[in-house]
Amino acid sequence: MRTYCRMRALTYDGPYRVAVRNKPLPRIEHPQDGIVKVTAAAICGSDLHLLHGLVPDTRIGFTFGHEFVGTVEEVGPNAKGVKRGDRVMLPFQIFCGGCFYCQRGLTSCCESTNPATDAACGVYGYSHTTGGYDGGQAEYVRVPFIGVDAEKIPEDVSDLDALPITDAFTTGYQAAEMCQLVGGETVLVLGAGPVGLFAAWSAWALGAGRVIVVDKEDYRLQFARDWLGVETFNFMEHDVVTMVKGMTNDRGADATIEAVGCEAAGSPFHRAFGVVAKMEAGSPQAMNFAIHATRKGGIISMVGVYGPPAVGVDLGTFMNKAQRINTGQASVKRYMPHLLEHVRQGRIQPSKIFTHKVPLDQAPAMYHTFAQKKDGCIKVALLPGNSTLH
Amino acid sequence: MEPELTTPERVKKQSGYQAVQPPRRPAWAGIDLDPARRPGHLRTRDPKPFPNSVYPPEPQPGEPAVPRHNRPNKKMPPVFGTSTPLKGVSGAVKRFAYSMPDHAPSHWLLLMLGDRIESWGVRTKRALPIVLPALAIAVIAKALSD
Repeated sequence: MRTYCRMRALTYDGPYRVAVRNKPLPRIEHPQDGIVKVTAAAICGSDLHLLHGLVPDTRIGFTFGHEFVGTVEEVGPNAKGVKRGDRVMLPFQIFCGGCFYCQRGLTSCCESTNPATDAACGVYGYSHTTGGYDGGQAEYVRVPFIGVDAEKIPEDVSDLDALPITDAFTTGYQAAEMCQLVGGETVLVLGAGPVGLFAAWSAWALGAGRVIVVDKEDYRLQFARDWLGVETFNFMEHDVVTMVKGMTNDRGADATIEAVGCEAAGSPFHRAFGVVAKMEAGSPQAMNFAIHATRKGGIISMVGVYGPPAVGVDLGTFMNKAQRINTGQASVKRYMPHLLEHVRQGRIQPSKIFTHKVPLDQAPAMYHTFAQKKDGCIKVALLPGNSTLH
Repeated sequence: MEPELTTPERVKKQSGYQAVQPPRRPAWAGIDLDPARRPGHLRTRDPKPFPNSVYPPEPQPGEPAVPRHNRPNKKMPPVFGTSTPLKGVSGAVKRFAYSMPDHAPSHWLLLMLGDRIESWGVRTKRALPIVLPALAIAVIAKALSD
């Protein structure tokens, strides 16, 4: 039982600054809440959009972290199905399980958890635009609807193998699923970050005939080739559209997965205007690459994160090419049993992407290592000092 | 339908492009080809509540950290976050932003403005204990040298 009232937690200090500080412990605020003691939390690529001040209403003192696993510490009076001591993983979104959208399986569209906007449901540690819930890059975290949202981790699955299923793996899988593959298609994956890598894995699993991964970091492309056997090229050396068309009878990919989001490189104008000057919500360049590198009648699966304000996307070309765009945050809970089966059958070891596993107190330095893609960093796991990994 | 296997020869024949590394399809490739094995197929399923859900949830007591946006026909969600409540000038700007509906661009741009005001305010406040004594020393030093 917790005997003290403060904990260590990552806190936002304004654009490009985070620190680990003492914060009050979270408490049960709703009868269906629970408190989870975090054993491992990951830094997600989309956390960098928060760090860089691109997501509206990110407040100073707020704790990031929407990918975490841990043990149940405390359970509210109306939370059923979990008990103290259970090892659990939490989907990154907070959902009630009973509203119009949850009942239909779209937990990422839950109506019960975000007062700020209809644009998203509640998400842990992702600004007040997604409800203002503190995140899991801390020793403890409040978990609303814990009985519905938490998925118990099987004994034979390690914490670090379960951790990516809370977001990156599931998002990548759903991205590939949204390509509606029937077998043999060429799938282009923009971005060899964690989501892009899991999307490439999933594209193989879902029947792609060919998977091409594009990034600007050679070490990430090397990782993709070694781990997944995909084709790769560096878009700083080759023009994306020309290269992909050249590889596909001058048509383009059958489906493209945009796994980059609002800080895409490849356009000095959009980098200067959107990312540096923040005059638009980041750079839409990855979407523009996707529109031009996908064949006519093809599908674009978009899972990169963009802030709500407008960005300049080439919608005219998109419409004229009769493409379809499938989008959406992953409804993680729905996928958890299936992806756990892949892990338990030995088809994938998701923890391979954790190139850096560090104590929580080193999180600020790791944010910058991850953002600047230094030291071969692909993904970071933060380990709060008061817990033991399974 | 069995997926067509891509060979390095086919890649080269189609494009003239030599792959950096010939593609290697893993042994389990196509394992989820059958739509019945895909958790998100169909995307919208027949309505059924998740196990352990209690709906509608009772309203959470306390103040949400996010004031409700100005959409008169939308109910306040029953559960919300309470982290880092609004305060100061940035809080006033954000309250004004939340008085506009979330489909209005000004709603989001004012929130971004509020963020910038808050971060510059905090930076200024943290710099003052260093900047003010430094200025005082500079003024005194200048007065003494005159």
